[in-house]
Amino acid sequence: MQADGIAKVFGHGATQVEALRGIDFELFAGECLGLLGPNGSGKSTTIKLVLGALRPSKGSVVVFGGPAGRRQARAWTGYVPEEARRFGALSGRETVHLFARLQGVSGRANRKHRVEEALELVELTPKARAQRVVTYSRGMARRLAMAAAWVHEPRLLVLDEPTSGLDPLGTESLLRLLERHKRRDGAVLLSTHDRVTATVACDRALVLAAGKIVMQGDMKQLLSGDDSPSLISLMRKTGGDE
Amino acid sequence: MSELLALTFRHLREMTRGRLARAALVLFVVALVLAAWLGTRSAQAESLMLLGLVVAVALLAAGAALSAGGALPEDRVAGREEWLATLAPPAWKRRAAAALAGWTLAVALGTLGGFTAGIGVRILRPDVALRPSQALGNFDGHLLTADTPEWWELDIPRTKTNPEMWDRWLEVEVQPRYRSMLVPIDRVDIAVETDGVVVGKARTVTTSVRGPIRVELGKDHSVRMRLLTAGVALRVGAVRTVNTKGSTVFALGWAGFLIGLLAGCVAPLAVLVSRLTTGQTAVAAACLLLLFGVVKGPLLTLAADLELGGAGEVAAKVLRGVGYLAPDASLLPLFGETAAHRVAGGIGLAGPALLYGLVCLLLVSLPAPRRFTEGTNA
Repeated sequence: MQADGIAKVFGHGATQVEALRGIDFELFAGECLGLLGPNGSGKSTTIKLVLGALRPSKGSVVVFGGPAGRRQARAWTGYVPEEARRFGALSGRETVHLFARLQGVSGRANRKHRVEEALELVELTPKARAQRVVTYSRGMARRLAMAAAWVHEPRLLVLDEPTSGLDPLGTESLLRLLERHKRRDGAVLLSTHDRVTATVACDRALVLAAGKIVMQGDMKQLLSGDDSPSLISLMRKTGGDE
Repeated sequence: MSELLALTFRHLREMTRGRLARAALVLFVVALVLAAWLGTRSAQAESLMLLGLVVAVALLAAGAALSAGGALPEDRVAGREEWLATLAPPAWKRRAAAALAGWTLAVALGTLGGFTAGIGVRILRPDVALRPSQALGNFDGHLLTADTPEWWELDIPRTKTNPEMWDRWLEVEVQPRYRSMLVPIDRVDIAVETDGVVVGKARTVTTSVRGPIRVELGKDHSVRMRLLTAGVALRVGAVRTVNTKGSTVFALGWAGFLIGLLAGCVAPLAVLVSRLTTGQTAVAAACLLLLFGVVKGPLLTLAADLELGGAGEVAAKVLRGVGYLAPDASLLPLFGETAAHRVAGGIGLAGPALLYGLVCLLLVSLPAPRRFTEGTNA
């Protein structure tokens, strides 16, 4: 995935907001790239541009060799949104099954196997899997969203604040899922406020502030280098020192 | 196709599992019980019972079809649309699936409701029979009179399903036109010849001056008749063939299927409107157009009358305009026929409504202008 000078402007005239002011980055197979930064820094906008849900005002985003948002790119991507969206009338199993069908997991037996494996990976109990999603807690809904994003074994996982609302066990499940995904040579784009998750899961990170990249590099380097105190202080300010 | 089916089944699950669905089902059962109870009170109440049953089925089917209008706005409000937009299926499939789900549910509930009503009638009033009937051409206004010796000839077309006319009779609805009010005539003689009878050996049928003249058909496909009684003329209304045998359960099931198909055509319209408005507005607009579609015939006649009068030109134009937008959901004749213990019409009756639904489905599938699609993958 390659973002080349992307900028995004919302609104016109007096209400105009520059969400992103020309950022460049790349993401390779088998790598996890963290998007860090305070609220309003442009993390979610970046993610939406990568998914093709928004079009850049300037620059371009290339995903799997083509413009972001193409059908093939969507089929190879798994996305966990910031808020846990619920298909309230469906059960947990039915929700993941729906995503498996829509993302092209073929064969009834194969689909069933993949759905159960994804639900197992995020540690949703068999009872919870059969329950309607409307009865789920926020944490359970997050786990379900992760299972839905991962069920078709995507090449690219995009996660927007995946740990918000998750208990420590849920965070552990998430880290396990990310590790497994990376071992399969999958790429991860992770936006988070959680320093622990960022430290453990990310290989590299971009720190955004006011729509610009203010720091970038290897995660270990960022945390151990001269910039470390400012990075930690920045993450504390955003409520990420959990 | 697999994606469209998956999305359609998702909507079907959501539509059938909501509180509204449960409430509609309870109301339908109450309506069935009420109609059945009414039917056991007296022999005269049979027609009212049958009418009540088909109206209950129609309301259930229409409710199911209209509920499709809420599907997309609910997804938008709950943020599910944004999430679904990141998946492989294109936006038109998401919209078409909502419309197809509404239509499918309307047909399924209509058919199921019809069969349930039929079983109820069979258990509570086994003596009540509904007979399938087929309308024959447009003979409205033809006058049968004894003044001239000419015969009125009718050709009954052969059908693939029943090339012979065994177990059928011909029904000709007539109304009297008296020559003199001083000579009341309530029964008349009519000479009837069919192609199974040697010419000149006509039967004589004595019948009331009002209501249907019934002629039993054998292998006959050609019927000639002549009024023998003087002093009155008979104005012909509807002409039909009626099966003398047939299952009431199946007949009501078929009526329910037709009602579902007709009412379901409004589901794509509701989804189409919901692209631009909230769910409630879309449902209300589609509901109004469906109601207009049900009574389209009488309202367009009213528009013509208003234009003739000269005073209501604007109202006539409005009526005509809405008439262009509304589906041709001709449920009124179907209701009338059922109340008269007949189930009229083949699939052709739903033809205009089917076409209307398909055009709306096509419009639902068209992409929105680019400036509206940011963030929605529409």
